[in-house]
Amino acid sequence: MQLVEAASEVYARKFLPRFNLTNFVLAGTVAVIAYLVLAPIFFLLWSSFRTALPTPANPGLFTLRNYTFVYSNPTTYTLFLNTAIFVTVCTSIALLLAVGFAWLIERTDMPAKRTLFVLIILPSSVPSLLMGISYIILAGPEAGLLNRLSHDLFGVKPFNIFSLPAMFILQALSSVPSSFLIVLSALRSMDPALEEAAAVSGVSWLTTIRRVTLPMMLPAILSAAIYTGMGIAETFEIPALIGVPIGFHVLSSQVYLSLRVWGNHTVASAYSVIFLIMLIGLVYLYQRATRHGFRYATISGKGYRPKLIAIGRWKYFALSLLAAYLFVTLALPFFILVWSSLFPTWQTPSMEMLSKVNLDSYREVFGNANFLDSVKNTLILMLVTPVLTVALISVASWLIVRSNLSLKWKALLDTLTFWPHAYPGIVLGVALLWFFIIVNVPPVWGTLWPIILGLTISYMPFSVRTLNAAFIQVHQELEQAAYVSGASWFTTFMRVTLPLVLPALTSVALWVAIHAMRSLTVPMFLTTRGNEVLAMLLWTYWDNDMVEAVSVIGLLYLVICVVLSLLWRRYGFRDW
Amino acid sequence: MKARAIVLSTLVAACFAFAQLAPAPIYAAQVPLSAKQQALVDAAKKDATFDIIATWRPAEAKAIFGAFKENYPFIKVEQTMMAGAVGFERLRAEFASGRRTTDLINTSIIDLEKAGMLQPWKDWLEVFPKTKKKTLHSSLTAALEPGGTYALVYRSDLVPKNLQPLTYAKLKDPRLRGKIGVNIRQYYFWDAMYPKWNEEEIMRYVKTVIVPQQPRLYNGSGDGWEMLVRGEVWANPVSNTHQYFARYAPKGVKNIAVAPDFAGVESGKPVALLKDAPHPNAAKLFLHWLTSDNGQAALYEHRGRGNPYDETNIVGRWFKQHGAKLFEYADEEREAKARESGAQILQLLGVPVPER
Repeated sequence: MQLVEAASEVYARKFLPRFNLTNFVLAGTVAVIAYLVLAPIFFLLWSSFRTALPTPANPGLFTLRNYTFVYSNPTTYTLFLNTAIFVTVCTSIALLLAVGFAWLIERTDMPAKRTLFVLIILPSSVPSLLMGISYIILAGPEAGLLNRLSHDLFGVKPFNIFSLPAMFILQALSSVPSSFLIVLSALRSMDPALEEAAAVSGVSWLTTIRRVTLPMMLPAILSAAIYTGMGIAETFEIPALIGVPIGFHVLSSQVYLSLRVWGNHTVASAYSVIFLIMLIGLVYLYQRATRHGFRYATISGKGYRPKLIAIGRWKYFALSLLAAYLFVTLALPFFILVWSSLFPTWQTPSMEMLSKVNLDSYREVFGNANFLDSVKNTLILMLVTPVLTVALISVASWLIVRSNLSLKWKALLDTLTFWPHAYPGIVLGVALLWFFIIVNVPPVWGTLWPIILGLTISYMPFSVRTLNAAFIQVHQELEQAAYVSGASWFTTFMRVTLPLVLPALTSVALWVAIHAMRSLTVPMFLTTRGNEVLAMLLWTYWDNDMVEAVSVIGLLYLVICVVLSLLWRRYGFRDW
Repeated sequence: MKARAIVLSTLVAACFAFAQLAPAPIYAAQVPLSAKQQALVDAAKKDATFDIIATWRPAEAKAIFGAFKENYPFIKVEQTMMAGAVGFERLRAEFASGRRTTDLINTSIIDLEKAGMLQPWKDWLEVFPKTKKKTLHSSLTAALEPGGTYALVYRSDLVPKNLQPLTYAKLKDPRLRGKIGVNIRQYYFWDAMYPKWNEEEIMRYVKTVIVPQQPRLYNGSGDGWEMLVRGEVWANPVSNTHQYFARYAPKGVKNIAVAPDFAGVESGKPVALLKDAPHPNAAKLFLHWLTSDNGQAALYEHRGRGNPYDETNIVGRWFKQHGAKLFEYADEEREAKARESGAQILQLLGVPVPER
């Protein structure tokens, strides 16, 4: 008992507010996080009040014109409405599928659940950009492969990717895996006793779902809905690829068009600020919805496994649904990328064309210096971003969970690290563009660092949340023992604390690496000569109508993403 | 074993010796250089490289830069593949940040001129007095890539036979609803595609024919061509017509025809020198090379851009055959007007256009 008290005393003494190396490291980390999170947004706000991005002939002046233009423009209100419709419809579809899949995996006697779990989350490794491109080739209303097949067989062309329903479904399918993981973890931490009571009372399983399971899951579904909604609102690729050609513009695609196509940086900033405010509102709602319970969900144990519901022949229907989902999200895009990469220009698949298959596109892409540079840059990005993220968030997370800071400061740091969840990638890109152009501290514009820093900011919320949960589950006794034995804070942190949360750190690092590879929106405006990454090259090639090169790179991309996702599942995400 | 080693080392030594005997690379043109030209070449050797923003695809760029390097092998060329509007945005970021990498850009130069981002090469004609004026922008900021062609192109195997040859008037046929492409990026080139009509007529036509046909909007002329090749759109009023013919013909793409009634040709697309370019001398040598017969031939061969007055190339023949109208690129007034009406057309098509 005395030893424990002594340890606590030593532990407390370590964190008295005095100037030493430990406090310097801790305060420095917090300062870096605050700088990274807040400074770009300040410059985004500032830029929205400027007349222009400075050029030799026009240094730019203060103005309210951007906001006057945006708010007096009727199309802005259409953008709000379109964004709301897009988010609501896609979120609803994604959740419907996610809740269904989660229920099948967690509560029923479906066979091969472990494999199904992996397969359900696997499509998350297909970047939306590739999904969009594949379906433009597959389901174009006139020449899409699916329509041609259907026309040959039945005389009709039923698919049209350039339509609102197709756009919504495609986006929703891309969002299913993340919603599925949230709903699944909620379902797992839910006490199944009530469901079993209903079953014992002779209620059918369909009625149990309707009257018991769904009402109990409502808070979890709500938080999953807000989280998924935020992700969908931020997404840029599918609205740009499919929405723009059919005249359905949302805020993310409008920011892109304003900046990239019409070349108006300041109006893009004004749109970005509006977009940011909208997302901050959603983050606020999300935090309210998850304030209680979510944080400790991982340590809620179950004394027994729930009785699984026998769904009988319905399992075949469920399996077919899952197979269809996988076919649509993985198999078809993979096939179309393989096929179109084998010809220098698009050819409709046929037996006759099989004899004309060639590898010219591969030779052209692999022989291109830009491609090799992009691969190198992407690899650097995938290595440095996780390291930097892990370094920053491990200290931040330790401060939030372990330190003796007051609750007020902890809440502030927690909010600070969660704040970037409200930053849509495209808005963060615009903000960092202004930040590095005007301030450029650290002076890294033109290198890979702006992209690395942008991605680090972007992935901080998820990483801190994951690590917080890991820290909560590790007791302080071992650290206290180290302090009592005379170890410094740094030694204890490096040799005791971090090894204890190593699985969570690995998981975060892998997750960050996969997402860093996929990210397009952050590098979009931060790319300069020499820092192109693969995602940007993919977009550039698509923008320059090089479908065959897009297919080659996309295929490579897809394979690496799937392998990394499987690794993440194997070594990082061990929930199953 | 020992004997094999001796043979191998002898072979290696022989190869090395032969390499030493190879003729020294010929730097610069064969004709004797004037003092000014020599000074430029020497300065360019110090620059050693230049960076250009252009939409040239890797294969095109490789061929064009390869032809350039036959004359100037000591200059390394870096290209950032990017459309003009995107390139302009990139350049503004470069200028604002002060970290400059780009020397040249291949795009319309009106916005660049307004932003003060161009650098005239004032003594161009003194250094190279024989430069052909037709290949030179009057402001001396740019070399001109031969003219792009503008026309209505269509899929002859998909458009109903009784509508062929397709004309602009026939685009209102209900069978073409949803099958016409419209480029939202090059929204200010309608007057080049419909050169025989005035601004009012173009607007009326767009309102009464194009908009009701619910055209497929796309972002950049390349997208439009890709959709035409796949058969996703059947007809496409499009820019850079022959450039794309040159690109797709070697790939075996057939069944794409040009409407016979109207056509337009731009006098040339500038490749412009940027203010305070980091490698100005190497960039100048490239600009001058572009204006030479070699450069123009390379641009024609690999980009499908030919002199419209030269009937030995397809563009020139086409220009004569269709009575195409030539637009002078330097005509700021025309372009400003075209942008204004283009913005109105975009609004008719439901595309929100931020103010410029």
